[in-house]
Amino acid sequence: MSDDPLFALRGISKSFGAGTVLDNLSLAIRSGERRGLIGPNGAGKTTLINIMTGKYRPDAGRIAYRGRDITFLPPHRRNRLGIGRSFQILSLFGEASVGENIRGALLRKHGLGMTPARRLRRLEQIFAETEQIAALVGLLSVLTQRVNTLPYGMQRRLDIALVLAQDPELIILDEPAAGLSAAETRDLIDLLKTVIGNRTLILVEHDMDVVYALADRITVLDYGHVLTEGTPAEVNADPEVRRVYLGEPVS
Amino acid sequence: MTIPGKLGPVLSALDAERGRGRVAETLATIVLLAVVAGAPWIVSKAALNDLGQAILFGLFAISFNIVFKYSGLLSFGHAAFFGLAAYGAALLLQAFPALPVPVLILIAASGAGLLGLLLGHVCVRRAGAYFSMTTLAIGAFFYTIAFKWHAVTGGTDGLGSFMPASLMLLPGWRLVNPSITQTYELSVAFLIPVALAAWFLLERTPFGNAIQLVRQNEQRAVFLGYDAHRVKLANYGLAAFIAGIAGALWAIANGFVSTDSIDLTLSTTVIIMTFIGGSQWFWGPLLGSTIYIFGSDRLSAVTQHWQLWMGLVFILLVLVFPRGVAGLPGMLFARLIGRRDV
Amino acid sequence: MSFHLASLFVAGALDTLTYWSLAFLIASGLTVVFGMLGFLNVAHTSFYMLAGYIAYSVAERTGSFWLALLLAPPATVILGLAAERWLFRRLYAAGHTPQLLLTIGIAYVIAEATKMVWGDDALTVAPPPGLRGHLAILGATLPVYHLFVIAITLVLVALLALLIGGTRLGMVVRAAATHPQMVDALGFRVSTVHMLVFLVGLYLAAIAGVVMTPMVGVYPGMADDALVQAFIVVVAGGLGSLSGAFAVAGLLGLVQGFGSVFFSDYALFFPFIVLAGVLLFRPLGLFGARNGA
Repeated sequence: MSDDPLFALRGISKSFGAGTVLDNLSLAIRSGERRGLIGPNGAGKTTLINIMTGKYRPDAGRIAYRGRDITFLPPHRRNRLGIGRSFQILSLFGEASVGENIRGALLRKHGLGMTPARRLRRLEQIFAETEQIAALVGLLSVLTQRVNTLPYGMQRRLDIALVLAQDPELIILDEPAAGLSAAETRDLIDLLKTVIGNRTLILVEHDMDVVYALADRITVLDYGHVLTEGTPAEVNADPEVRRVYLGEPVS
Repeated sequence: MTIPGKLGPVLSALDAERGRGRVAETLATIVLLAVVAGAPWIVSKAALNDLGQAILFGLFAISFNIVFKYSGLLSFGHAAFFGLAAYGAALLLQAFPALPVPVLILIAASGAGLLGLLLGHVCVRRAGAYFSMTTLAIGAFFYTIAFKWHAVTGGTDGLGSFMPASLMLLPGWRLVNPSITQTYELSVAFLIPVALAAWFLLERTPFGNAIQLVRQNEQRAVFLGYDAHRVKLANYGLAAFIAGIAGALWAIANGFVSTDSIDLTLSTTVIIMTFIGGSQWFWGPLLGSTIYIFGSDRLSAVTQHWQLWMGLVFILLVLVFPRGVAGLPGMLFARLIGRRDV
Repeated sequence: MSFHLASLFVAGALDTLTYWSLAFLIASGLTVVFGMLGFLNVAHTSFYMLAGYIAYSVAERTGSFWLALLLAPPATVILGLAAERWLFRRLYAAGHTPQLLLTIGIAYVIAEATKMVWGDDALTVAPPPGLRGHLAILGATLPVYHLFVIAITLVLVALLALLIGGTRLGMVVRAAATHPQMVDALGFRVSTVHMLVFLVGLYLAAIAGVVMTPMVGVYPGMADDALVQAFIVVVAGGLGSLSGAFAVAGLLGLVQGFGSVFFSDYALFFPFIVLAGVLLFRPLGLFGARNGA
């Protein structure tokens, strides 16, 4: 095992019009690491996620995954390399059932994405896996229900299920607890602790409880650059972080 | 729909087939296809000829709607594929009259399908009004070729006097049963298998599943690893291929090809047919083309300006019944049980 | 020889400007209405055709082209505004598909209605007496009428620029495009502003329809022909961009004006070549905004 990071951003810059959102930002995530990304509003977290997953192209800088340059790969190609993501604003197939959603992810993973025929034996396996995934996130009882009709908390779980169904090596979660109640958030933390296993995680989250519960390392962003990086305890103790992020004056 | 345990009967048919509506739809499909196939025993010979035209344009309208219903793109130049295959079939027949009809149609339709893949590469990236305007320009471009390239297409005079040497469809099955018209027979022989195959592909296979996922939520589909552009392109190519089958059939059935088969009017007519019937049901366009052809036949007996009335009816339909005739039962049902949205 | 070249150049330049004028008059309303209201009006050029036919009838009855130029555009605009008030307005928030379908239906009805009233043949009127002659410049004989078309377009464009750029009303219109709530704050109704934009767009297209009548004449397919050209101008210019429409109309004028001199057989293909050429280098059109469509 080398020390090479699994996922590395080097010198990333991105501007929209006159506003610079990311300014020469670098980040290295090692395999198996669980990295929390925090920062006040406007720190560039959303833009950073969109650059990591390929929705935006950086104005400058490089992105590498397993040592391979993926800066110019479109999102679906990055996904096929093993990078899965969730969405801050729920993005599901609302008119389809829970099972159909999960199956959509599984079909692709099994290389049946555009097969113009029915491979029955393979499909049978996919149906079985669909149930396993649904059971894992506690949605087996609503497998055939239309997603639009489900309560919000369940839709959040389905969002996670779609990421898990692809069995990605690197999971990028964009505010997975957004809009959840305190009780739902606790359930989500328990769920994520069990399902993430030894995968690599990048977690962007407002809720510090979620970040402290899941991340083993935290990066603090401010105005498009890295303010500091360290263990949760180190970050928590950093007065600069407290000033910027929590709005407390430096004592 | 149940999946657990056993392999369900379907592999996903996302929004189209759910719950109660599904039984009704299946029944309606069977009734529609049974009427189409059983027509020679029911209707007069004149009506049978109309029905043949309706089926032919129905297949064309279905191909238009494959792009609209399954990719959410409203093509304003779909006649390009119909016309290309029509001219292609005519020219092939003039050169090789001995070519068997199915081979001829396959060649002509493949040409249209390839053209669809080529053009789709440019235009399916654009959504909404941009797609409609780009396809209109493309359609007009091919019309202009047909109009100007007199040496090959005959310009406004068109191409005539071609006829397949043999109307053998399959060994042992010759076309033109004396009791029914050639248009009807040709149309039915191709419509039912081709449209059913397309339906199966789009509603019952992973291929169709991918197309429907991209239609519902392109962003998420992409982050599940689907190449949205390729998925939409494949669908567009499929639609162009089927439009090509309809175009080649039209050429053979009429024994004559003119710019009527490739002009803006045809691109518009196919839109009108589709939405009269209803775009949300796979077979809606066939229903629409039947209403259109028979309606224009009856109207033109009364007035020379039947298109005026057809247009007014269409405007009314768009404003009052946006789901078309096929959507009426669902709408009435929803009224009945007091729900606004089905 | 150089004299011959000069005359070719002058003739080409005049054709360029004439074509530019007409293309811009027709397409400007389409692109502005799309840009401001997100409404794609397929029937836009049907109103242009209608104006041509009405002008024909007025000129025919009264013998005066000037009266036709005065009366036909307002008559057309009234019909168009009726359609806006009673039909289009219902669908502003409904998305492109119902809008396209509705306006396709309207185009269909107008096409058939004009055939019903005026028949299937091309109709034309003579230019007014003062504009019938030709001018000889550098050996080229130029129809005075074409100069008139260019002049009237220049006047209209100048008025339009003044209206948009220099008046309080123009400010409101510009505000309505980006900040509808501002318009309310200024004491104007957004729907009134929209109607005004619609009115101006229709009026320009109607003028184009009227001036076409003595030049090419009116014929049943003219709405479709103009629609294709107008869509090309709008797409290549960038959806909703007036400057883009102006630039592409000019480009079309150039290839049409000068290309026709050398490759007259292929003149019908020029607009498509321009479209493909523009989209090759600027896929969103000359002035296309990234989040435009």
